[in-house]
This record gives sequence, structure tokens and C-alpha cells, in this order.
Amino acid sequence: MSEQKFDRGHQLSIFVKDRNEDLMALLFAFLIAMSVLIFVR
Amino acid sequence: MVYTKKSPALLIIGFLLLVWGWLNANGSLDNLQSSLQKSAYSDYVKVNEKYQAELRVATEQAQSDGKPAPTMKKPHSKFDQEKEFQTQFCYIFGGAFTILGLVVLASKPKSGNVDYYLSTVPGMAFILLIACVVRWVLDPMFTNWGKAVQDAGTLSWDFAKIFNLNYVVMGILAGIVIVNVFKIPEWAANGVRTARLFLKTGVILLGALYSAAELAQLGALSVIMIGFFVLGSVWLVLIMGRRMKSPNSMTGVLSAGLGVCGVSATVAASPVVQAKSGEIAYTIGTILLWGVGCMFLFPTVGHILHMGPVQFGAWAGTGILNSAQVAGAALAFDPHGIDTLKVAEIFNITRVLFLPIIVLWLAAWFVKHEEGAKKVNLKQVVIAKFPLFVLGFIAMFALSSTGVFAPPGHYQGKYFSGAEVKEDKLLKPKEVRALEAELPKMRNAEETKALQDLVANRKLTSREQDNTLKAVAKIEGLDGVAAGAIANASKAAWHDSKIIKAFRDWLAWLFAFGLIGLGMQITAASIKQAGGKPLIIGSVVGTLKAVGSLIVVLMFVREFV
Amino acid sequence: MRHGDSAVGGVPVFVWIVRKYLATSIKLMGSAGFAALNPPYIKILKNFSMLTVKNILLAYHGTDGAKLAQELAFKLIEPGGGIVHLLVVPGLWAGMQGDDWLNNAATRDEFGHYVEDLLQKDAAEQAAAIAKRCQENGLRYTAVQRVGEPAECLLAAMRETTVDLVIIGPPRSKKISGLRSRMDLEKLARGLSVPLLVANRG
Repeated sequence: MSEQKFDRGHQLSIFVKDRNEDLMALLFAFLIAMSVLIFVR
Repeated sequence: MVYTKKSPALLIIGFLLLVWGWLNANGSLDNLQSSLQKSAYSDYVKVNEKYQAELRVATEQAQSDGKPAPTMKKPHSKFDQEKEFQTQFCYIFGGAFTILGLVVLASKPKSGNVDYYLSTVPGMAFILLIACVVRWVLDPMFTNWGKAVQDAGTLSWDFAKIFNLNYVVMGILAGIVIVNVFKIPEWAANGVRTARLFLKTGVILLGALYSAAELAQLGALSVIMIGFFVLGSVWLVLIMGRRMKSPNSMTGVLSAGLGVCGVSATVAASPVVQAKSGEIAYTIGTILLWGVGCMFLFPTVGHILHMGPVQFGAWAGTGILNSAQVAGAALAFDPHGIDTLKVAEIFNITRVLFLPIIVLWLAAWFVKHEEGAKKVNLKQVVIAKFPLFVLGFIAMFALSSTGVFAPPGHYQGKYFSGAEVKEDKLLKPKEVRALEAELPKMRNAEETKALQDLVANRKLTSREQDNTLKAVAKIEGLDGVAAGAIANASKAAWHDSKIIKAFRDWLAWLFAFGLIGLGMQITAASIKQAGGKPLIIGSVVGTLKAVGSLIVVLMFVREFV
Repeated sequence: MRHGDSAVGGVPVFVWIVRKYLATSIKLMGSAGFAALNPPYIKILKNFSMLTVKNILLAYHGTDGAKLAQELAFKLIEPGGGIVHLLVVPGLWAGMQGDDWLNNAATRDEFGHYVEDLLQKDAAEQAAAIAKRCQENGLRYTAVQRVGEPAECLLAAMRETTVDLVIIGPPRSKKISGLRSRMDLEKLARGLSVPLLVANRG
């Protein structure tokens, strides 16, 4: 039977990894802050 | 592994948004919108009447002068602004989703980052669509119903207000219903997890809205309250666990979960105390059960007890076991302002800062009580468990305290400026005369000077005089017109800070998005795992914490920010 | 029936009876009915121990109920037959970190690895136990491990392997604590293409 292939090379995979979540949050926050600063007058 | 699922869903969502935007732009939805956005619509009616009258006068004038009829620009009402916002919003997001929807259908993604990030878009679009429906349709609908039922006398209270049927609560409920009744569609699964990302973004952005004084006061209050209740409940669970002869790993994971910040603490502490799978399941089930229950109960109790933002924020921030529901409860309590959220989030941040400390404590406790337990590296724990988004929050606060976003006086969203009072908001001659007549009633030189200045300038020029005159307006026997004039002058001198308002709007959307997405991850199957000793201990600690913090808040916390 | 009637030992007529009416001390949750249970067949069923099955799909995950299913499977398996061991990790685990957002993604990932390792270790232990017993009895052993809703996983495993009978344990007594993840018997019964046995308690 076909074996399921998983993200982490783990045979049992339940949780998916969130890639770069924290850095993205920082980036988004600063982008939003900057866009508010630039566009709202 | 390839994450992107071939599905037309993203394209359809994009198209739906575009249609809503287009219908708003061409006025087809004006009837519906006027019944949904009642107060904005009444503003429109007012603005329109004024405009028509002015146009008529101008036209008559022009006719009598023998000139052609003048053209006048129709002023923008709040109703127009709302429709314009919805249109733009739908065009931007609908357009992006439509394009990406086509990409999803056309591309053959290979395993990698492009595939991973593309796979998150349909889920985000799904949440955003729900957020739009809840915010633009359901929220105003329930507000109208609540008022209608109260006005009709069927109920003596506004059910929508008391049960907090606002966009936040309904969004979370929509999320919970979707995951448990319909299941998250496969194409949306990966995107739903971005809820945490946007919640973190929201908290970082929130950092821009605190003044230093506010942060110091709230920080001190939260450290005292969280310190007492967190350490207290961790200690209580450790005692109860040993009394009830629970395994050390179960007691350890329970004390973190019930003491600090719920599921997050359980997740952080489980590997450290080597919790068994069943123990993790019981603990998380218990915490979710309590968290969700409290999220709906707390705001209602808060309204019944007439708590203010600081009191409620402090209570929710301390008494609710799970940190995700703290934000939910704060927004449910006060959905259209962010004062409560600001307080509650400080408590959340304080909690998460306690987390590394508690993890270290538990690690030490576990090593002491369990043979063969691995010792943990202090530095590693502190670095790994220190949340990056809190650093972002601090950085944002530091940045905003330099004044780049808004001058210090603007943080409350409103600021005082006599210079910016518009011509048509200056006091009318009738009002000035009424104020002059009241000069003899002034009780001291300061009040006299303030009133004289107001009469001379026909507007307020300083914040101190605004405060002085607020007291004057309360003098008994003061003429009604004069008191009204003071109120008008004050209203004219206070302005909404556009930048702060923009921040607030962003925050409302980010938190709504995040909470709907988190709601979509609260499964009944995991809540059902609540049971065994964790449920007993959880119920005792949860009740003590909720009631204890309520008493402390009511006795000691005053609205001071 | 997909895999040829001769898979079950004994004469074809008898096979038919077993397939259709296997009941009493063990319950039949298969295609047709229960209601048609007539006295002559019950007589046959009393000699139940003489029945053997060539390929059995056994749902086993170490609980008390699953242990009963295991006993029954080894009693019914034909010498030289094969056991397909299905081990389901309940899909509800995916919801277990659903509400955490304060932690760094790395902490969440560490938790994910920790839990997956725990469940994996459990699964490996259980698989080893059944495999050992199969080896001792000269039986073929196949392990199928799945994450998801138990009934769905069982039906999928049944479709992907060659089995003649499915054996599961009885639901846990409500007094005993444990992970709450039940086999949806209705869904199972609707999707089965081979008969199902539910082991009984005591």
C-alpha cells in the first residue's frame, strides 16, 4: 500500500510547521505602521 | 509535500468581493446599506438636506442676478465614506484574490516556499470573507434588532448589547460553528493558521498606541495582579496535584496551563515536564472549555456590573485561563473602542513574560520530584520561550514614543487643538452674548479669564481653560444657552487623530481576522477531552481565579488611565 | 465481496452463513441483517470456535477494548493467515495546539514534535506487540498507521488491503477515562465491504 509522505520526514504528521510566523508578524506590523504614516494625513 | 490545493474557492471569493464592491460603487446597495448603517445614513440625510437647501439658495441668487445656475460639490457624509471604504476594500482584496485564484488554478506548484505561502491565501480569503459578512452585515443587523426589540417594549434591555452580539463574538462563533459543523475545507486549512500571525501583528501594532505613563501604570498593575494570581494558581495546582496523587508530569503541565496562559503555556511546558499524551489532551480540553465559557460570560458580567475599560481589561486579563480568549473577551466587551483591548493585551503580554519563569520553575520542580528527568538549560529556555512579538511590541512602543506616528497628546484618539477649530465651528453671536451675561457668576479669576478668552476668541485656545470651563458649565443656575456654548466650544476644539484612527481600524480588522481564525481551530473534539483530575483541578482553580480577580479588581482597581 | 469466497475456510455454504449471520456472543454489524437470525444458524454459531478467517483487519491501539479485539482476532485467524493491524491516531490531536498563539512558532513546533514522537512511540510499541505475536503464530503481519477519524481510517485501510473480516473492540465504559475518540459505527457499517465483528466484554 502507498505510504503517506510527510512534511518533516516524520512518519506521523499531525501538526504543520508555521514558517517564519514571528518574523512575518514583525514585518507586517512595520509595513502597516509605515503605510499609515505615509498615506494618512 | 505540496500544500496548495487546486480549488476554484479563492477565485470565487475574490469574485464575490469584487461584486460587493461594484454594487456599492454604483449605488445598487443603497437601500440595504441605509438600513444597515443607520447612524451613517442619518448623517447622509442631514448633509444632503443642508446641501439641497444651500444649492436652492445659490440657484435663486444666481437666477436673480441673471447668472447660470451654480455647480456645488456635494459634501461627503459618513454614509458615503463607509460605502467608499467598503468599495475600495473589496476592490483591493477581491482583485488580489481573483488574480491569485487564477494562479492557484493554473500553476503546478512544486514543494517549496512559493507553494507553502500560496497555499495560505485561500484560507486567509475565507476568513476575510467571514470577517466582512460579520462586520458589514451581521453586526449592524443585530445592533438594529436589539434596539428595535427594546424600542418596541418587548424587552426592557438591549439583548444585542447585553449578550455582546457584536462582530467579534459573532466572528468567533462563526469560526467555531464552521470547524465543528461543516469542517474547515481542505483548501482553507493552511491559511486558517495565519490567524496567529495576524494576532501577533495586531499586538505589535498596538504598541504604537500607548503613552509612556499608560504603559507604566498598566504594566505595574498587571505585574502585581498576574504575579499574585499566576504564582498563586501554579502553587495551588502543585499542592492539589500532589494531594490527589496525580503523576508529576500531569501536575506540571496542568499548573502551567491553568496558571499562566492556557493552551500556550501547556504547549510550552509539555516537553519540559515530559507530559504524557493523555495528560496533554485532558489539560487542553479543560482549558478550552473554561476559556470559551469565560469569553462569553465575562463581558456580560462586565456590562451588568458597569465596569470600566481598565477594570474589565484587568479582570479578563487575569481571570480568563486562556490567553486567546482574553483578547476575545476584551473586544466583545468593547468592540468599537480599543481601550479595554489595550489594558487586556498588557495583561496578556505580562502573562507571556511570566511563561519562561514558570517553565523554569516547573523544570526545577520536575527534576526534584522525578527521577531520571533531564535538566534544562536556563539560558536556552529563556531565549527560546521569550516571544518575539513582544520585542516587536516594545520596539513599536519605543518608536511611537519618539513621536513619529502622532504627537504625545494624540494617543487617546482625540486631541485638543484650538488652532484647528474650523470657521463654521466658532461660537455664534447669540452664544457669545449668553456667555458674556454669565461673567459675574464666575467664582475666581481663573474662571473669569477663561470665559473672557472664550468670548474674545469665540473658541477655546487651551486645554486648561477647557477643563476650567467644564467646571463652570456645572455651576447651578447657569444659563442653558451659555452651558451649551461651552460644550460646543469644547467639542469643536477636540479633534479625532486621523493616524490613531487609522491604527485603530487596522487593529480592529487584524484582531477580528485573528479571532475568527482562532475560533476555527477550537474543535469540540478537543474540548471533549476535558475530564479526569484535570477537570476537577481546573474547575477549582478556574473559579477561584475568576472570582478572586473580580473581587480584587472591584475593590482596588479604579479607572485611572 | 471483493476477495473471493474461498478466503474463509470451510465449505462455501457455511461461509455464506458466517458472512451473513455471524452473531450472538459476537455482534455482526455487516451488510444485511440481524433480524433474519434463525435458530438453525444459532446452532452453527455455538460451534463458533471452528470458524477461521484468512485475512483479518484488526483495529488495535492498546486500550482494554482493543485487547479483547486482539484476542478474538488471534482466535479466529486461520493458520498461515494474515493480520492487518490498523492503528489510528485520532485526528483531534490537530486541534490541540489550535488555540495557542502567544508562543514563538519554534516553541509550537517543538511541542508538535514532542507530541508526534509520543504518539509514534506508542504506536511502535503496539505494532511491535502484535507483530511479535503474529511471528510466534506463523502469521503474516501488516501495519497500517493513519491519522484521522477512526471510522474513515478503518474504511480506507479496508479498501487498500486484502481482508475478509474486520474486528474492533467494544466502546469504552463511560466510567473509565481515556481519550474520547469513538468509532462511528453507523458510518462504518455503511461503508463496509466485508463483515465486521465487535468483540464483547467478558
